[in-house]
Amino acid sequence: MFIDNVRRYKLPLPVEARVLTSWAHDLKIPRDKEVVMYTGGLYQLVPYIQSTINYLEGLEGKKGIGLAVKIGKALRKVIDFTKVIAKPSGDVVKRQMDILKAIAIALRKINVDFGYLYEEEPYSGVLLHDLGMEDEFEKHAKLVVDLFKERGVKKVITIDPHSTYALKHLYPKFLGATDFDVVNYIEILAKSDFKGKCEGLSYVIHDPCIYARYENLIEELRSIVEALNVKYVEPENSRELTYCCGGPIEVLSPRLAKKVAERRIEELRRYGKRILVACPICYANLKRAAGEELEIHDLSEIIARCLT
Amino acid sequence: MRSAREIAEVLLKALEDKGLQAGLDKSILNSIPLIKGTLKRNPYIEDLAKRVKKAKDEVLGNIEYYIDKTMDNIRRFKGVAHFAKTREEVYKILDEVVGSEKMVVKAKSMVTEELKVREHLVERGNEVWETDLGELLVQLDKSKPMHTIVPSIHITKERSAQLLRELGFNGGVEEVREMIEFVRKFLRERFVKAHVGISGANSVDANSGAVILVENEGNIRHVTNLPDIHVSIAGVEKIMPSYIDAICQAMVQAANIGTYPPTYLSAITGPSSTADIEFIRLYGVHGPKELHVILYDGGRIKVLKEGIFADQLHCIRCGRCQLECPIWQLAGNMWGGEVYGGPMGVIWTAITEGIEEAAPLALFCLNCGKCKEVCPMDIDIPNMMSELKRYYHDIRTS
Repeated sequence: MFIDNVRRYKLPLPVEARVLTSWAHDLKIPRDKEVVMYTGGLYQLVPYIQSTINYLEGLEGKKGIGLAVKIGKALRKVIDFTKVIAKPSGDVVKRQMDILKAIAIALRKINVDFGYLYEEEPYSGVLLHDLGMEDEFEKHAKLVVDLFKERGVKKVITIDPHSTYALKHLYPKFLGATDFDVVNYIEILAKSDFKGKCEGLSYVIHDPCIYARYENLIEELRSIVEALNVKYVEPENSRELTYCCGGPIEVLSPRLAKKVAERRIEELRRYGKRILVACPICYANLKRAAGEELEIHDLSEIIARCLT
Repeated sequence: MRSAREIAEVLLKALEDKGLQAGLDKSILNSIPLIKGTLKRNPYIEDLAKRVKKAKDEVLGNIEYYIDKTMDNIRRFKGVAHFAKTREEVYKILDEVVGSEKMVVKAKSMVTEELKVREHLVERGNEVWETDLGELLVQLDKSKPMHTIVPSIHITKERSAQLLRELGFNGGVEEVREMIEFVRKFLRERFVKAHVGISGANSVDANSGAVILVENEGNIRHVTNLPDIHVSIAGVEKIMPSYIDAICQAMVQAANIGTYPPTYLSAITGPSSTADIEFIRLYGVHGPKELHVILYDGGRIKVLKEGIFADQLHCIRCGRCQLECPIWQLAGNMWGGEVYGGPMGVIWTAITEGIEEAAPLALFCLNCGKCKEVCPMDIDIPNMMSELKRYYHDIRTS
């Protein structure tokens, strides 16, 4: 199902272009620039992923139905998938838009000049790779690279771990050196004189696996938190030893993914009630396990709060 | 090839297994701080690990040379050296060395699990006892080892008491101390009577043929010392280029399971001997009269040549990746093949049972990278998992 969506809509779930790009319209981000902020649609997709996974989890629990992937195949044949999934509430969608705006505003604050490809922006294809569909991934990656070339993109600012890993490491691995640089917004902010003023806030840090173990963005994340004047606590499984949120297998088995998230939540809860994440997938899966008990915020949400 | 769905069902079933869940929770809770503490108190282990990795690179890059060298040196010290390419060849050697109607005591060893040595010897009419407490429980439970070092984590004390009743234990379910006393007495009688002791090997020194074994219970000392014949079976990847390197590997392994220094570290070079009368060396004194070392290929050499899973042969089987993996923490070795489970176990399954067995298991890898992070040999398990995922998809679509 997800694969089919990537083929048909170039995204793992069918989402209207307006939903993907409205944040940038609001900020009047220019279109044609050599430097672009790249969302890969991941933050925008979170509310849709959440409702889809909740739906699949319900099916997984039912006897005799079994695995999500299988269900997807069957469903695709009978009904339009988009009608099955409840549309996420306006608040949830707005939250994701605010995150993207916060990142863009923070980058503007430190005078980074960048554009955005709007509805032309392609998905990174990273899910294809995670599921072992490497040939499909390679084809998809080629499309993305060609598009960047056509649009004259020289530098890509990524904002989530999965797209960062795909563009920075997987693309060169599959296609050889690319014509554009890839830099994550956390790196950019950490190197700048970016400052914020938030007094009295404290967070337990949940490092995304990819930032901590694949991208080595450990100190950078902390230096931003410090620059915002926010205090932070390190759980036992932190930094290079961080613990997965379970997200990567949520498509395969929502229940198992939730179990992994519950273990992580069990640990994090011992250190405080506010959790800092820096990945939309971590956010979605940890949120599913934590319910209303803990406050989970994306780094960019904290940035937004501390900039004003 | 099993489907993703079938694997998911196994994993979800593991979540419902209360004994397994309790055992996993306790093992994780107790072992991880212990291991971290051990490594912090003994920072030189990290340097030793690097040394071991380098030594392994040397051996794995010249495997045929090192197999020959090891065999020559086993013979030089009056051991009997065997090379077995397949399981059947191992059985043939065992049939000659052990025969039938013998009492056999066994040390815990994953390669003998892989080879189903116990089952084979029983089939040939021998009486075979696992002597590691956990492995004895697994033998009685007729289940499979759930962790490389602590095979019985899925068996609660209540279940342990119940299993030991088969052997005549009549104490209470809370009396773990009594259970140990019972097993100690029960197995002592077997150790003395046993004709053959069978062990694995933590490492084998190519220069002397010395077999290195690490343990805490003391059973391996009995297995390798009391019977007239000691047979050690080692995967060819256990060969190390020097005596010191072989010992280092055992030290790194012990530290990464948190029992460091281990209670016993044995280095066995040849059968027992004396030269006390006129300096003439004679073999077979208090220890075994015969030492057989079987170097087992079982697909490993092919894997080294093909490259995809070659990195896994650096594995020192400490099981650290298992303890730290979020999926293993939920399902133990139920996430695995017939013998090996967890991150390293999925790749070992590809090597020993075939890629079709391992590929659907790999789909459930989170690709979170924790296994590589904690691996003392820095084995890139996530990368090999990706290869398996790719294989699964290629087969399903073709």
